[in-house]
Amino acid sequence: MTARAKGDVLLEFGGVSYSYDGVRALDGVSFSVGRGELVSVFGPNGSGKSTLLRLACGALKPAGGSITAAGRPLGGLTPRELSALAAYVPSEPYIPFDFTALDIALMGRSPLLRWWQDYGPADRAAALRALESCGVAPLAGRGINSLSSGERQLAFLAQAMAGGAPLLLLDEPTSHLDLKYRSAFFETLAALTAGGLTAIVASHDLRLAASYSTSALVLAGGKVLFSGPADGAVSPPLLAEAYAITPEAAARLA
Amino acid sequence: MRTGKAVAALLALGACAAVALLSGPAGADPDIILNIRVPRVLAAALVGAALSVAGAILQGVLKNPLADPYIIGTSSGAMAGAAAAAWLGLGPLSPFFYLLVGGGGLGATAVAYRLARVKGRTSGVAMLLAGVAVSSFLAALVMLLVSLDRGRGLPLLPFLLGTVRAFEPAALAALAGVTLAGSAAAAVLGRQLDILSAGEEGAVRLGVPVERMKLALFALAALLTAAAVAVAGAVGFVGLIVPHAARRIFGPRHAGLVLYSAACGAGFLMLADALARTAAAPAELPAGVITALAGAPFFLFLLRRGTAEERR
Repeated sequence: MTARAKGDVLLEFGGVSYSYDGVRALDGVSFSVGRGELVSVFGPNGSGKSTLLRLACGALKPAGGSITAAGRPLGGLTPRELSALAAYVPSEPYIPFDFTALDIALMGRSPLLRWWQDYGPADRAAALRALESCGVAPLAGRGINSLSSGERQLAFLAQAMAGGAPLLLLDEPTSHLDLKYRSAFFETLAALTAGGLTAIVASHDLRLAASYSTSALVLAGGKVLFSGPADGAVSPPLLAEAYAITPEAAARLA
Repeated sequence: MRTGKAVAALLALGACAAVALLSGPAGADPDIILNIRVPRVLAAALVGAALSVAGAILQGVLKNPLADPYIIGTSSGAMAGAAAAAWLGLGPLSPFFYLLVGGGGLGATAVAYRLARVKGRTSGVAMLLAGVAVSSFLAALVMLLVSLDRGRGLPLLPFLLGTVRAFEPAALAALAGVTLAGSAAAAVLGRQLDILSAGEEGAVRLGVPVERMKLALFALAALLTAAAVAVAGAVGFVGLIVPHAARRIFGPRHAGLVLYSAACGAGFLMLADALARTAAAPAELPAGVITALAGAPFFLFLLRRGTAEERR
C-alpha cells in the first residue's frame, strides 16, 4: 500500500460499502493491493474481514463504491474471469467424503473446464505442481480426512493455487492450526508471494501474520482504522482501539 | 490399479448374473432360463442399478452418507400413485398404472424441492427434512387407502414390500433407458458432484452453478428412483448401502462411483431376487424383504467399522 505505479495495482477498493439485510458490515472501505504483496487484514470478529474477502472474489456485490481488478471493474467480470482472478482458501473445511489430497487440489482446476469435461493430464500436472509448492506433494494419495489440520489446510492452499489465479484470498487459514503448522503455513505463503502471487489474509495471528506481510489493514466496525506497512498495524494504541481492550492488554498482543 | 478394479467389478457382475440365471425351482432348464429368468434377472439388475445410482447421487448432493433414494419423497409419491391406481382398479398391466406411479414419484419430489426452497436457495438439510415430511405424509395416505379398502389394497402388498416383476416389456424398456442414460449423465456430472459434495460455498467459487446443478441432480435421482419403483415397488436398503460400500472399495470420486454403484447394485439385487425366488419355493418372497434382511446387518457392520476407523 506504499506508492507504486498504477500498472502494478492488482486489486483496488474505492469507498466500498456492504450491508447484510440492513446491517452495515463494511463502510466506505478504500485500499489497494499491488502484485506480489502479502496483505494482512486484522480486526475483531464482525469487523468485516470475511465480507471484504467475499467482495474481493466477487461472491458479494458492493452496495456502494467500486472494486477494480487490474483496472477492470469486478462487477463486469464473468464467473469464469472471476475464478481466473482470485481463489479462496476457507477456514476449516469439512469434507464428508474421503477425497485424496490430489482430488482436492484437482478441484481447483474445475473453473477452467467446461461442464462436461473431466480433468486431463495438464490438470493433473498443475495440481501436483501446486501440492509440490505447498510442500504436501508426498501426501497426494492420502485421504484428506486422514491428514492433520495443518496438512489439510496446505492441501486447500494447493487447491487455490492449482487454478493459476494471481490473487489468493485466505479467511483465517491458521486459526485452528498448531504452532508448527501456523509457522509452516505462513512460510509457504511468503514463498508463494515472493514467487509473484498476491495474497490477502484475514487473521487473528497478529504478530505472526504481520511479520510475514508487506502491508496490513485494520478494520473495526466495518471501517478502515489503519492501512499501511505491516509493522505499523501491531501498535498497542491501534489494537486497543480496534479490539476495544485496554492499552496494557493490547501491548501483550502486539 | 483402476483397470484392475473395473475388471474385477465386471467379473463379479457376470458371476452374479450367472448365479441368478441358474438358480430357481426348475433348475437349469434352457427354456425357463431364456423365457422367464432372463427378463426377471434383467429387471432385477436394472432396478438395483437405478436405485444405487440414485443413492450415490443423493448422498453426494446432500453431503450425507445416510441419504437414500427414498429420502427426498420419490418412493412414497410413487407408492401413493400405485395405491391410487389400485383404488381406480388399474393393475400393473395397465400403462396408466405406470403413469400414476411415475407421476406420483416425480410430483412428490417436486413438492419436497419446492418446500425446501427459500429465497432461491435449497439447502441440503431443508431438502432432507422436507423429503422426510412429504414421505411420511404420503406413506400415511397409502396406509389409509389400504386400510379403507382391504379387498383392493391387498394386491398392493408385494409392491409395498418390494418385488421384482418383469411382465411388462414396455416398463422394462423404459427402466433400461432411464438407468443407462441416468448413469451416464451422473458420471459426466461426476466432477461437479465431487465439488458439490465438498461444500456449497466452495462450489460457487469453483464455478459450479450450484442451484441449477442441484435441481438437475435431484431430478435425475427422482427419475431413476421412480423408474425402479414402477417395476419393483419399494425395494429398501439397496440405494443406501450399495453406494456406501462402493465408496469404500472404489473411492469417493463420483464419476467412477456412480458406475461402480450401478454394477454393485445390479449384482446385489440379482442375487437378492434369486434368493427371493428360491428360498421358500414354490412361494416367492418379496426381494425387498431379502435386501433389508441382508442389508441392515451389513450396513451396521460398515457403520461400526467406520466409527472404529474414525476413532483411531
